[in-house]
Amino acid sequence: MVPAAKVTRSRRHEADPSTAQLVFESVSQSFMRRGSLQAVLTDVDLVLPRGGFVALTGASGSGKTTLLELAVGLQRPTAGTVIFGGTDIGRLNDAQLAALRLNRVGLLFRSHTLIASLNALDNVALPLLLAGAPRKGALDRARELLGRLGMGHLASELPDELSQGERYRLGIARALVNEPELLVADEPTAGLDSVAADDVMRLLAGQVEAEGLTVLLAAHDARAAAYAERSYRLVGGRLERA
Amino acid sequence: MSVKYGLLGLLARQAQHGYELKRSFEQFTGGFWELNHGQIYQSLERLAQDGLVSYTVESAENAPERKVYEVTSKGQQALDRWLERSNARVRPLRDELFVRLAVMAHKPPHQLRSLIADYRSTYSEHLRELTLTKRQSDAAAAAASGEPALEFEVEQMLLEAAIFHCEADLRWLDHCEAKLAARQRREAS
Repeated sequence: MVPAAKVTRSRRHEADPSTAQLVFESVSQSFMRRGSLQAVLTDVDLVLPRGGFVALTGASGSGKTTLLELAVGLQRPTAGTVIFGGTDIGRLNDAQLAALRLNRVGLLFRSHTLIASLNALDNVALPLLLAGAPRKGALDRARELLGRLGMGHLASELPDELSQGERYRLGIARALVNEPELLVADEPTAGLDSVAADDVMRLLAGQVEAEGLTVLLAAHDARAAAYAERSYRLVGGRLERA
Repeated sequence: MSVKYGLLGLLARQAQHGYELKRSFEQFTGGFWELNHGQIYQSLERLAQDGLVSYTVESAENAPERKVYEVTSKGQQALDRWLERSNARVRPLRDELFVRLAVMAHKPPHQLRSLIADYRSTYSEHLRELTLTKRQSDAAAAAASGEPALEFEVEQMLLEAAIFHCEADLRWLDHCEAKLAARQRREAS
């Protein structure tokens, strides 16, 4: 339908793994469950180029969240290698992994809720403050980001005063405040009505295009996944092109 | 039937010649209902015969003559009557895939799964294209100043209809695949 855009999209995905933002090489993950070893992911290979936007789909329990957590070192794989921005993260210790997440990764997990007693601006600035940034600089950066994402008018609101869609969008702002190389998003539209879900996805896709953000998204529905340039499906622990 | 009234509705907004009508029809149905020239001219001829539209012949130097159509008062009445009857009914659900699945029902599940997978990737790609079109349309709306025209918003809704249908198809394909996979597991054990 829009051939010019499609060409650039597929070209980006031919990116060299050595310059990619994220590479999975034969990654497998198993857990002990009820006394037996269960494979969640088997031999997953994935190359996510810088500035790319990849979606993972698959039934619940198919391993999407596991894959996201492996990408940012929240889990360590049973076998295989995860390379983040050229670094084999299997070689990093826990403190180094925590620093990597704090400085280079934006996390958008369903369980990451906003802090109810802080207004929108403080919520967004929080990751910078935790990373030790001076308060004024952090607030300026958060204010600038909220403005750029069209949420400047919400700065002094408390999370309870926002709509659900606005809270989700605020979550994105908070995940972007440290200017991450990679944003990892786990079902960022779950529970939203379709108009609000579109807003959230448009915001993410816009950041990929305008800011060169790299996104790895787990999506429960095809409509959210369709915002990505490429989607993969987890079926029986294996990754397939969707 | 709906093509006839669609054309009447467009002509009621503005007199147009056949080619313009083809373009405006496709645009206002979100680009998912293509008409060929034959359909347009046949419908227009029919509408003219029934006295619902009239035309004037426009000629310009170095260009072929063309007929510019406009709606007659009889046409306007017919359009109004059609709009008053909402005629809500359930769209028939017909798809080649349904026939294929039925015909393949005696084959092993993995063959049905590969048929489903083929459809799945086609629909996924289509959904991606639709989503891209929608984003471009959203961007155009955001760039324009003020509240978008209702016509524009309706155009978007039609595009969204295509998106939701595609999504529903994908959900159904996933559902079929999950059932076939469960069956394969049962048969294997």
